Amino acid sequence: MKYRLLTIFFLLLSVVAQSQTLLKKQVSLTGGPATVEEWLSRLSSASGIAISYSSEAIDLSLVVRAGGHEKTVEDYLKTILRSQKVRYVEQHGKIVLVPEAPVKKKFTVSGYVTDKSSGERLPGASVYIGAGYTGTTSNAYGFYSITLEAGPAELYATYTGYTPYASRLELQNDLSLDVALDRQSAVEQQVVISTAGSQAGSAPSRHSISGQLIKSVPALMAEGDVLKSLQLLPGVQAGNEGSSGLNVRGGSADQNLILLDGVPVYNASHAFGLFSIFNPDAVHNVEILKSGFPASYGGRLSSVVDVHMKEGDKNRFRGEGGIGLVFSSLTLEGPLKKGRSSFMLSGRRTYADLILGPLFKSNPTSVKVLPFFSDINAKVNFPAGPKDHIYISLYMGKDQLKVEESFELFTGPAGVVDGLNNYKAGFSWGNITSMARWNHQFGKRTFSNFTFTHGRYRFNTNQYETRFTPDNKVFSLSKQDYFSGIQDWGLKADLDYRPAPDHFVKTGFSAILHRYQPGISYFYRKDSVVREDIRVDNSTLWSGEYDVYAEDDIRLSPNMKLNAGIRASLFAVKGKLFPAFQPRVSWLYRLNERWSLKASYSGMNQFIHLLTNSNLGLPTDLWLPVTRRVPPQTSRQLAGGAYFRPAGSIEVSVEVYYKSLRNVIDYSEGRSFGNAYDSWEDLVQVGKGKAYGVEWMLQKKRGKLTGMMSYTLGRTVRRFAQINEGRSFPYKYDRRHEAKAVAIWQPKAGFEISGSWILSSGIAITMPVAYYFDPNSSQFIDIYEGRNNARMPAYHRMDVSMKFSKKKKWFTRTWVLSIYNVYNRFNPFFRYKEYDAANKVYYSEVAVFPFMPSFGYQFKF
Amino acid sequence: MSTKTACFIFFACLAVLAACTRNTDVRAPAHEPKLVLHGYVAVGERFEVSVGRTLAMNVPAWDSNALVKNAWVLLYDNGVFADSLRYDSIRRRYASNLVTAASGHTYRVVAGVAGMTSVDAEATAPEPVPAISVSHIRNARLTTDGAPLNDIRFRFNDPAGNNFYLAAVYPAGSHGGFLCVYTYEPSIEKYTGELLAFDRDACIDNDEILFTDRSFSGTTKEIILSADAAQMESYTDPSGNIQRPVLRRLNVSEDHYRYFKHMISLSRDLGGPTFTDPVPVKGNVRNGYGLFSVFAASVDSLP
Repeated sequence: MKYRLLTIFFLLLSVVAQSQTLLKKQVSLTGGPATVEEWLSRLSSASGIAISYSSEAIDLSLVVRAGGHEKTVEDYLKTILRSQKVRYVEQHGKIVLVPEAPVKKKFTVSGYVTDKSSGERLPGASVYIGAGYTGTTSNAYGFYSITLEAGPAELYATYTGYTPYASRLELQNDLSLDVALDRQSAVEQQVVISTAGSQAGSAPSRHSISGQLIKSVPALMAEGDVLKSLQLLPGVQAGNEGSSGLNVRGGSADQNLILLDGVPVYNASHAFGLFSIFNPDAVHNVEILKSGFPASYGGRLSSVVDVHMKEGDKNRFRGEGGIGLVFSSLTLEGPLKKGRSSFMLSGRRTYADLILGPLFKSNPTSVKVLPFFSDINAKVNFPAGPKDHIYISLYMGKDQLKVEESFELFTGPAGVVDGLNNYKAGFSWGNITSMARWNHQFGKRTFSNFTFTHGRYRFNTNQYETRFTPDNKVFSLSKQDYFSGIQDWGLKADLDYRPAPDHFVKTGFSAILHRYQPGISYFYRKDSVVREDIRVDNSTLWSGEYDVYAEDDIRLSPNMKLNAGIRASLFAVKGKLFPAFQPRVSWLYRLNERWSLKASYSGMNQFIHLLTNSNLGLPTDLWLPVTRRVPPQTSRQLAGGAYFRPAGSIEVSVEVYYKSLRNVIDYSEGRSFGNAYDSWEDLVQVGKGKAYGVEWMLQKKRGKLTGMMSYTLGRTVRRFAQINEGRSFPYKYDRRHEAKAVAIWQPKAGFEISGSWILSSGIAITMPVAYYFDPNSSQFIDIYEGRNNARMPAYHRMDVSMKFSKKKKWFTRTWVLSIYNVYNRFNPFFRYKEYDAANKVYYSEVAVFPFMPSFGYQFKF
Repeated sequence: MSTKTACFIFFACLAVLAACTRNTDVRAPAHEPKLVLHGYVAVGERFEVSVGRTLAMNVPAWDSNALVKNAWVLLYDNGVFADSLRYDSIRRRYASNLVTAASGHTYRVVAGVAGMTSVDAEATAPEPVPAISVSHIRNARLTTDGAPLNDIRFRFNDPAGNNFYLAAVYPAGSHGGFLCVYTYEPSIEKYTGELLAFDRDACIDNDEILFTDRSFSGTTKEIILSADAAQMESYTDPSGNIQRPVLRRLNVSEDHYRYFKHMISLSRDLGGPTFTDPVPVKGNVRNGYGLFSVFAASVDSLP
């Protein structure tokens, strides 16, 4: 064996040595100027080496002169052929002169992918060349750029719900090409969920849903809801029934970065969590990322929910709206300057207060309860030059719950009213977000985006009481106010550079200034004199959050893509700095046309904590910055998946994930009782957690019947040194099993029926294991031996919805009939303990959403 | 109006629309029975403790099921055996005829029953903290819904170190009557989430006024409590005695304070989105449950 290896080695060595001898052979030629042909002939004769060439490739008539320094064959060839694009190779004992392939020039095709009818730009559209192995996707503003060699090329563009676009190009210089896609007909366009499949980017666990889908799935009170639609995806759970809160892969509700046109929203729900603040009529699409977060996102641990509002139709004036049992809505959009700029204006309002108000007026001394919420979205966009575009958007939402009461005072012995008392109390809360964005194109390959954002969440509660004498003179007045809130000002710059097809580099920075108002109380009371005028002000806090990021998205081979990035963050509060480095990697490998694999690793940091009593998104929830005692939350998530597309519209996937959480917070045991000297840091415990699971999903994306089925097997636990005696315990929303199904059937234009079904393990609750008697207080005291040691019953529910649309002369009308909880499943919301006649403990359970039919009317013109 | 009230109104509206309730059988997780020891002894009083056992959730909640009559109970004073407590069948407690609680002494009680693990607990008797002044101001303020409130103001010298207080205000002639107490005082523990001090939802039970000296340790402190004016009036009973409202203050141990705080925080509602997790009530009894405490009491009749 040893000798055989040596023989092979020497054979190889001799081949190499021989191959060098032809060009390196010493040779000497004499003579003056001569043509190339003569020189080559002389060189061949003198060296004894055959030189082979094509007269087509070489200019043989060119006269050249030897320099006198040449010693080898190679030296002479260099001199003879110095002005010609020829290279020489040794082949089978001779030298072959081969013309050098001409270097093709490269040119860039760039532009925007838009909706042909409305002119709206389409983010995430696929733009590719030839068979689809070389390509890119349009960015969040519809911009794409591909750099190719000169010559002919077939360019394709696809976007779910739109007819694919194909164009033959002859690239001879840089080209600006805006691709306008045709929306498919109503029946064809039923695309349910565009998920992280083989055609999508390299990140797993990425789902995108359209505004149309949100309105198609069955909903409570027939009111489509953005966040509740997301709850139908695997790994995304509602905290409690009816709530629009999100728990993503074992994370808590505060760990979701909810963006409205790029602006973080702190309280995304109306009506104590029953509805989300996003008006489906104004939503273009929603994207949710559960892992594989690109470096451009940061600030929360578990998910990114990116809500893009419609830009507005640039070509014609349109409108849509609806009248429902809870609220009505109207959305208008149209061109400001046809084909160039547009606006979108959308609003919703409940009318319970408008209906109840007049009813209460008939009895002025009764108690009036007046609930209300409304929201407005407005957006304009216009070009500011050939390479510049400006977007301005605004959201304003408000919730209010008012209670008014009037009663008579001091009824004298003869029944004479001595005075009147007017009492008003209420809650109000709401978000305002605004954004101004400037898109600028630097050359053909670089897209930039500068954004200024402002967001404000404020909660206020007040009581106001006046007492009047019978002749309407105020003789006493008292007032109490409390408010809390958070306000952000942000500046962000993103640079998107696309040096080659299948390669983009993204970098940017952001700076956010947070202002927290943890709670300000004001007490005032006056009769003949001012009795109280007190202001208790928990001092306002400021913090700065600064991030820089860079990510590189590159196709490493025809079948492999990689996105690698880093995000560096610095959080400054009260003179303390909290730095963080967050690496992100996503990898995609296409095994063949049908199979692909994905994997990702994400390091995430969160610098603000939410103090909340629930998962409902209550208005009293307080956002507070990290401190030395309560440091930033961090997570590290590994995820991977396999994706299979057996037929054109079917996609099957399986994903696994493991997420570790650090510095998560929970309330201390017994913290519901506290004093004003307890800072919020005293009320909470800092601990860690983990979540892991497997998600299976089957989708049918096109056809008359579309839908999705999924099953998730997951576990999530928490551990705190001072809770549950330091032992780990299941997180409240740890649901071991969760199965979901959604189907939308559209047999013909004008009719649609949809259904959804959810089955999940019950939430974890803490139950007493025994009890004892305390003779001092004469109370029976429950013994709790473990946090979340029991489960509520399994949850399941089916909803159906039907839509009947008809085209009228001026508009299309749609009746929506919806049934929530079709088979009237009793899903307990909570349980409480009672004693029967024999003093034996039993439990009662309360469910709040039984069989609930509802209807709505929608119109579109 | 507090968040809880608002949530209640909101969910009540939902409930009117749709809610259903049903009774359900819930199998409690397994539990091994343990002994329960309770002893609340004031400085200057004889020792008296009760011994009980834990009950499974399916056993009816009668105190007769919970109390144990055949236990042995030993009392130690500063580590020296002091007495063996005898069962008093009328009071259903184990009492000492010999030992009276004295400030500065550390007492230990050990109790056992055949077939069960014995339990023990230890407590040190604190010094009393008398009031420097107590005043009662009528109709000093109003609740948010207009009910008049009387102010009770008391001043005292807080001893050095960490001190824990449990106060109670009783209507005239009654030590068991219920009364709502309100206060701005930041050191007094309240249910968090009650944003407005004189809202009905901010009512503190009259015998659940807990505060510590964390913010005023070793100084003179004045505390102002407000209580329903109608119940704070003195009267003359049929025997001719004047019955006055009473302010009672206990200087208690940290164990005692925490035990009470947890007891008040107990919740019977489970699993709901706005409910806090139930609190395991932690006493100072080793191998069992309950609380053994020796405290110093000061009682003042209000003028």
